[in-house]
Amino acid sequence: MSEGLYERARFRTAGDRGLLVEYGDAIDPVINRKVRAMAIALGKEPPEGVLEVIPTYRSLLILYDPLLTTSSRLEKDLLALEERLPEIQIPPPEMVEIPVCYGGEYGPDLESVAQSHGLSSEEVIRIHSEPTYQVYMIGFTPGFPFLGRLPEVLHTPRHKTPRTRVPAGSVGIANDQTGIYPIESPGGWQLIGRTPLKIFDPQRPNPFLLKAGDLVKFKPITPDEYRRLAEGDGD
Amino acid sequence: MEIFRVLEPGIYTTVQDRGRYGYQQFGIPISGAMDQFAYRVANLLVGNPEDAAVLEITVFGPRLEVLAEADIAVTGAEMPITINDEAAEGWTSLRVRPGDVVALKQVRSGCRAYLAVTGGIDVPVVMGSRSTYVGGKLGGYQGRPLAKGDLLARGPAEPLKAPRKLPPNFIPRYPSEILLRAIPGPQDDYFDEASGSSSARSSRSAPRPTAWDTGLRGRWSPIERGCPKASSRSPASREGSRSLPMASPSSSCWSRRWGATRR
Repeated sequence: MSEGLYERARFRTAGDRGLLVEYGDAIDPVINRKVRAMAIALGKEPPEGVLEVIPTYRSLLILYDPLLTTSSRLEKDLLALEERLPEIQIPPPEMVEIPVCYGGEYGPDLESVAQSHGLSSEEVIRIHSEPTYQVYMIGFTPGFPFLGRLPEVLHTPRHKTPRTRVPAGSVGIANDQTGIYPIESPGGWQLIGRTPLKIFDPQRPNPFLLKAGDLVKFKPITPDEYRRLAEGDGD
Repeated sequence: MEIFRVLEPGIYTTVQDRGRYGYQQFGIPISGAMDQFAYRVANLLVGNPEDAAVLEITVFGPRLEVLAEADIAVTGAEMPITINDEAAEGWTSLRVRPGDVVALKQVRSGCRAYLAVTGGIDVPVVMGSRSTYVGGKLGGYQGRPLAKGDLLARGPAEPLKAPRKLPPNFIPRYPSEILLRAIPGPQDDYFDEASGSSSARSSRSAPRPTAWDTGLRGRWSPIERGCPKASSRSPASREGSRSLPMASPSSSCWSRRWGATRR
């Protein structure tokens, strides 16, 4: 069991057609697995009136049609579904390998991140690409994965002034999180590398490379490999 | 079928429909018409399904050359409408013919107007919607606001058999000061009961027009002792949520698509 996991789901009002369900109060794999299981269960057996389910680190936001259901009815539906979770088939998480070219033009902050922790760039690359990360949630921009947990030795604060343009594919660090920018956007994370894979491509049948609950492993590649893969993925 | 050539795009004119639902879990906002009432009425006035795509016109409108006979309707914010430089009315169907020039001018009250055309604006459906998400460069017309020279198409449709008009008593007013109804949100307990949340409920703001797509930013009366418990573990936020950033508790943001003009 996990310390931050609530014994009973907590329900909070999120406007006149939203219900927020909290399962805990921490960035924690156990809490997040509960969120994922409930999101999948809700996708399989949506209670009447549910329009959209948005999982985050520790909670689910459920948007509903107030003409079809009420928040009190939804609370009952959700508690009943939670009881039946053991009977519902929750598929195992998918493992996705993400090739990353660290440092240089692809990771302009790699050296300063290394320096701030008294590490070499090579050590940062090794430590960052060693763990299997969990996709805790997707958000901020289309398909942006929030990954945890980042090894503590790499925890680095955001830039005080965000960059106005972070290239798509950039791999960044912010405090105890790491993530990948799917599209060019402003951003304040420390950029240590870049992947040639398209994290988000609206033209693909499934536009999103990652979904909440997936497992991610980074694989260091060379600039040559980056260019080759970028051309291969450029359709 | 081509229906409009964009002679002047206006300040910020985009294709929008009901919105893109089901993808917020992947970080895709709903987008869609801000003023859903005006949007739906515009479609009904030209005989479209309520969820057809329209032009959402912000503050200063476009000039459009008509390329085929059609019915159009303009609803929402009060913007002077002309057809071939002759004044025309909003909230009613208008028959236009090839060569006509439809123009919308500087807004008089409100912010966004909606122009619907029989058959709906025909752009590719991306992830279930024709709405433009400018930040993600997707949906709508090439994922961006209209530009001079763009050619817009419409779907197949029959012209109206008789003109349609919304009874005047149903036309919303768009005053410069609006009252936003709100109920306490999921993180209401982060605020000091006595001061924080009550002042959050009663403050006034002049929105700064900085974030068209994601929200209204504004300076509000300061919220004393607000936000004592910062959390990086943000829950998903709904459209219409008012959020108070930690760095400057006197500014805050209402997310896009608050239904302030909906009755």
